[in-house]
Amino acid sequence: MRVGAPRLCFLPALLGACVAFACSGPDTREVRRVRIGSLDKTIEFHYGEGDAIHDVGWLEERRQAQLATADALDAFHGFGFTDRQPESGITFRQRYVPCAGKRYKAAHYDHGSGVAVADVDGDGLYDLYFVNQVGGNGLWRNLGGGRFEDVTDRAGVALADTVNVTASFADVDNDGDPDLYVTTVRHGNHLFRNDGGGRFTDVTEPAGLTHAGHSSAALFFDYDRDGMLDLYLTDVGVYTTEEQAPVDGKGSPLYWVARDDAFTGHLFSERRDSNILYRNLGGGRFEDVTDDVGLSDDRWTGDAAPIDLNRDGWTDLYVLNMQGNDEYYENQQGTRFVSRRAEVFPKTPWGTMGIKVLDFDNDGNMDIFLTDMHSDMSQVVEPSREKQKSEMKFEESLLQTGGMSIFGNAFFRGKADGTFEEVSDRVNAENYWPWGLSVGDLNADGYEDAFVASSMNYPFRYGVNTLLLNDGGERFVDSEFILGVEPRRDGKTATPWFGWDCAEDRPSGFSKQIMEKLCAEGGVFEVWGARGTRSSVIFDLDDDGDLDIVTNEFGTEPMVLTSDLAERRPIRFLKVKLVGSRSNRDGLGARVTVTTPEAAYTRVLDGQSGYLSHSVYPLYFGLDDAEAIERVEVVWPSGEKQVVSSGIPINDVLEIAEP
Amino acid sequence: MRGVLRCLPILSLLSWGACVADPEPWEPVESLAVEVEGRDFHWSYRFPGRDGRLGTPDDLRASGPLHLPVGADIELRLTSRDFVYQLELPHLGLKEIAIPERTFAMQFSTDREGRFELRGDEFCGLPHESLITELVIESQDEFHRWLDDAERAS
Repeated sequence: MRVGAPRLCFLPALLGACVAFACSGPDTREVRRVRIGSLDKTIEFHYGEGDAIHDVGWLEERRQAQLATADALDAFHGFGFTDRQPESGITFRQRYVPCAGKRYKAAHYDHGSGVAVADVDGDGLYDLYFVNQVGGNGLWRNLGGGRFEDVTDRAGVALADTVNVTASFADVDNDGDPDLYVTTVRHGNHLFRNDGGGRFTDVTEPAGLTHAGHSSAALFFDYDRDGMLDLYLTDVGVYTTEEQAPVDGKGSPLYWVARDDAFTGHLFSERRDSNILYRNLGGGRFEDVTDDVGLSDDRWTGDAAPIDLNRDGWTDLYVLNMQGNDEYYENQQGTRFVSRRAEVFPKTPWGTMGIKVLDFDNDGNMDIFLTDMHSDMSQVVEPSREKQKSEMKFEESLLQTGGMSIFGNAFFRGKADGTFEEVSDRVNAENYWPWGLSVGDLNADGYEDAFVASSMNYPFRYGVNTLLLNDGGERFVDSEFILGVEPRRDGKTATPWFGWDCAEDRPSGFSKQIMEKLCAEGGVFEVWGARGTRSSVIFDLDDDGDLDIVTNEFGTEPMVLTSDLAERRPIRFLKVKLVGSRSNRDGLGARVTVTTPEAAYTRVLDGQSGYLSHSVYPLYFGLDDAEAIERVEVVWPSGEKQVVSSGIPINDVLEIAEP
Repeated sequence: MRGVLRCLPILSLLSWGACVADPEPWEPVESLAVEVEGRDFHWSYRFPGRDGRLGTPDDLRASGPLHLPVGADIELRLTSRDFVYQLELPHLGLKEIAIPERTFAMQFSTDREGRFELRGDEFCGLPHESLITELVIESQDEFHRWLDDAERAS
């Protein structure tokens, strides 16, 4: 693109450097597109125009190889996903702080933002809430038919002046509507109470939830079984300095600039932030009971999951560590949490980002799928090695786990005796640069499938999102190309990341070396980075009976991956919506088993919808070819066991109220 | 500083003399501690000066290839001024991190002369060319001459 005088005024916006250009007089400087991030062991610059800059040679090879495996796949795969973001009306775009862009540092800002789902206005359709670092979050009301409208301002949940991380929907006051909790990076977290019509009031202060830290995921569960949802808030650790800078490079609002050495923060005790357990006292108030129940934990945690691992009716906690060993805390009747990792999970992934509890093989024993991103950072990973564990290059001085780490994703298969077996390689759970995962029965065959949100952006190479079809509870099968999730719409693997004028911009941080090399001959550049997903949610967005996938990307618009399963074959399913009474109203923590003449399917309602996200939506049971459902059994958090054995519909929602 | 003083009469207005120290020969090095610092995507080194102790005013500073004497027990003390780096000596199978506010040690013996690869990464999985240089293990005499050069340059 050659720039002439008539177009000059557009350049400052493009380049983010107003001082670089005067809006008068001719300028014939050429803006060169350059993509940063290659497979090579040295940083290379890929110049291109138009579609050429999207080209990733290995992607087509991967596609062909995967398509060749489709015939051998037993699980139903005669359907696909189409990214209908343009048709959905959703125009939200995730924007990142300069430390993840022009001033890139290897810090935790690039972990991105979540996306959560709930029916905020009670119209029976599930709405989307996208989290953003810059420019505010977005609440998109589901209009039906796959269409959405922006109701952010009306709802009062934009948080436009804060760097936001995660979103958690939950009915914290048991009044029948989903409330919302949003975490931020040092700007203070927020609790919003829903009025039932989708309008929210910030009740953070009276709730006592004003904590400001390097917060990440927040999960709601009822640890003391008093019928009110408690809150477990994870904090990563101190990865920022005391310097503040504008989020958009100029003006305000401000964000906290990342440390150059953020990645080794776990080696410094003074940079640790403790996770917090807040007990719900009722009346809209919460109390920090972390120390009281023995849950002081200063791991570098981005997420956690509730799981009644020992099946004693009290929800335990699996706490992730993105730079070290995870932890498992056993809940001792709501009074104490006691570490049991050494006995139950002696080895855990070193860089755990995401977690999902599921029953992979329908044996009634819950399994745990963990994704490990940081282990993929220790070296350049060739596409041919993506399905293997990391050849860990970090030293023990950094790892600090005494050899008790798994360097890659882990899949802990639950056994009948209450123990777990790590089978990630056997079930094909490994992938490259994963963040977190969402689980759902995408082909409605009764087995839970997984979408692993993956890929880093500038200055790293592109990686595919991983869609794993569950092949009869035996193994996952890579299916992202088979089902049309990859390649992305229009084949896009890269996107403009920032502008750079070698005459004016002053490099700093990680970008310094890249830009100094790039600017050896001067010039003006539009720097492109790889696309990458961060968070995802699987739900039936268009109410057609099959499950769809919506993502929150890093730096671009979301993907609205709409399934055509219901059009391609007759499907059978049941959605189960729980209404607690003695238990919390959402029924979070309930264990539900649907039994057909052929099989039994168990799901636990934990709200864990994807990386950095917590949602309120019905449990979805694919029923394969079942003609009828014999019974639905619910074990409520209160301990109440309820069996429904008549009036159970097929292909509809079954609402079960706790007696 | 120990050394032999050689006084040179210099004719000047005040008939002052100038005294120049003739440095004492370096002692053979049996053990050596060197501070290696990552900064701005480059390695720099600090060697003990003639007092034989690291961390004193006569320390010698260098950059580029890392020179070490053969037949010595070496301790590299790794640190960083800014980012998180990793230093690797592939021929010895050794690597260690260099981070701000902490020192990590890498110990080995130099049992043969030669030029070997010294690799470095900024800790993000991406190599940086400016962190890749050489480890030069040389005779004691050659190392001493290199120290002399470093001393003159300091």
